Amino acid sequence: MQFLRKDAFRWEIPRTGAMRVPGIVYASEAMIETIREDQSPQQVANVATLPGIVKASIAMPDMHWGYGFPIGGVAAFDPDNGVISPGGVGYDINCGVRLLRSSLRVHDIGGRMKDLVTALFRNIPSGVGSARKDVKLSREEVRSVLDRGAAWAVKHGFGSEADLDHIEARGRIPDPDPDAVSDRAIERGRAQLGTLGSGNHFGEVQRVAEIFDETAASALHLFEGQITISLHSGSRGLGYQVCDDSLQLMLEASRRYRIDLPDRQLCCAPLGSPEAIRYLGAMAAAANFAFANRQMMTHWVRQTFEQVLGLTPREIGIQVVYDVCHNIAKFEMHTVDGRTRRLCVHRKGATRAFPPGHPETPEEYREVGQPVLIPGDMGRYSYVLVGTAGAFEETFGSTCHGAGRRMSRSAAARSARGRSIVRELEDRGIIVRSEGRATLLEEIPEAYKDVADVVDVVHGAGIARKVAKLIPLGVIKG
Amino acid sequence: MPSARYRVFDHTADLGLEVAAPTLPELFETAARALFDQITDVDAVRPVESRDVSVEASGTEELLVRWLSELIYLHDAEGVLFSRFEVRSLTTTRVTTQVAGEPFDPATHPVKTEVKAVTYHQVSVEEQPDGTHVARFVVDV
Repeated sequence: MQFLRKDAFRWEIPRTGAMRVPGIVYASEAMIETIREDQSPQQVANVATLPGIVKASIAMPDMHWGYGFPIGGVAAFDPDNGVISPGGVGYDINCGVRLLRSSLRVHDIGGRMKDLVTALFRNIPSGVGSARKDVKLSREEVRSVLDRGAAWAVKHGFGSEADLDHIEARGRIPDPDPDAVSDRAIERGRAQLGTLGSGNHFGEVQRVAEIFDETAASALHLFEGQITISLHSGSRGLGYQVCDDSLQLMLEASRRYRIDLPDRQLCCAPLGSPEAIRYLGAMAAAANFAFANRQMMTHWVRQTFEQVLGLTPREIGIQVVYDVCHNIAKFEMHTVDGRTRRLCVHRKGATRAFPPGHPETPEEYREVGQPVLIPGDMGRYSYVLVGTAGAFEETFGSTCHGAGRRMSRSAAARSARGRSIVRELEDRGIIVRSEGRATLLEEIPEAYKDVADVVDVVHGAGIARKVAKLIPLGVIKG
Repeated sequence: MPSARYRVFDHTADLGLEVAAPTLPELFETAARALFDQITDVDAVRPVESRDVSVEASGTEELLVRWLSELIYLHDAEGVLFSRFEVRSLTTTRVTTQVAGEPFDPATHPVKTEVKAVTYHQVSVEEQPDGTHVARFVVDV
């Protein structure tokens, strides 16, 4: 596969064969070799063959192989002749990250990190078969969650209105269609609302280790030594079921609308078709479930800190910095070749990164840009960035989402066998509480690429701007 | 009862499983045991409650994915684990099974990995020259 170097961070996969547009990969020279090793560049090229794709099939430096679309992929489609593809959103609809800030510094934790992590692990269920005893919803109530998103949670006592101003789409993707969500998806969601999930999902207590941009940090109310909390979680079984249900429909739709697919997993339907409308409605509903979920977990984080530290909410001061999706499709206005048009942007393992001045960038951040939250692996660090005009111009306002795996689960498990991962991390000052031992082995830090490298690429390419580095102090995992 | 003997094959972000059995029905049963052995220790799950599960699809491979997906749905929605699987009938478009297990109990069922979905990715069901049936499928975890 041909990779044409455009500059230190941009590589083009030239338009060949059935590709309608070129592929653009954001990566450093050092990364290209690893990227070539899995089939993800071919996937970038495959996405470029889909009808109505606009400008380019884009991939971020954390790219790796996915179902149909690569993870770390961005693709925008024209509403009149383009398509919607569930593979371009992912199984975990609205998997995303929420960052909470506090008024606390490390010394305010006062040696109670172990208690704090243990309490978080207890109050925020994760892993197989977990559930909060006090969250029991009827099917109708679940549908209400799907319709209202984070606002549902606020209305039911989880957090406050002010939180909503600091969430992408204010915690509700418009035009959800709960009726398009199957009964089985509702059943799975009913059982799992209020749980963190497993795999690479986590909750993390962190400290701000480094500030790269004082002005931006100040606007985001971040300071060095501050205690922050991240939540990485999605739409749980409800979202997976919605995706699963949609694949069947989309396979048939691809046949019916005679869309040539280089890979069955790119199955799609023309935007505006009944199948597309149905999927988009179900996707929005599932996304809203995830927003509600992260809002509920925020409330339990606040409660836990109050319980363990014996401080008042005001003294603790936990506020939402921001909450971003990284598996989603959204209708947005973008300018392409001088013409502003509405496009359907797929982001799978990619984050929206809107610039300063954009109306959807929350008012208090409007001068610096939309916050972008990039989690790393559990042993190293995470980053906070802001969106830029460069991203808006080049990548439909998108950037990377995380570190990306570099080792298969079985290889990681082999590498971790016999080691006490919990103790290794504790020796480095990180307390871990985890439900599934197998998951923990598969999630060891070395299974992941170094997120610092990924972030340096997007920063260097000007599609996001580094604001702060966060290091983990305590981690909860399913 | 087929054992949960299976092979895991490498796949960056997710889990590949390969199973083999002398007949196609036993292949399905072995695949389900292998799947649940990712979630917990399948030998620790007592087959005390049974139910019928039937699924339709167009083709054996799709049938396998749809049936395994149905089991994941039941597991997720009801909090049950399954360890015994019996195929009553199997055609290229329909499988009728009886599955048995018990509710998840954290005290007796170790938690291994959460399975999000059984995917269609590179799913294959093949018969080898010596008559052994082999299936491969990828699980999103």
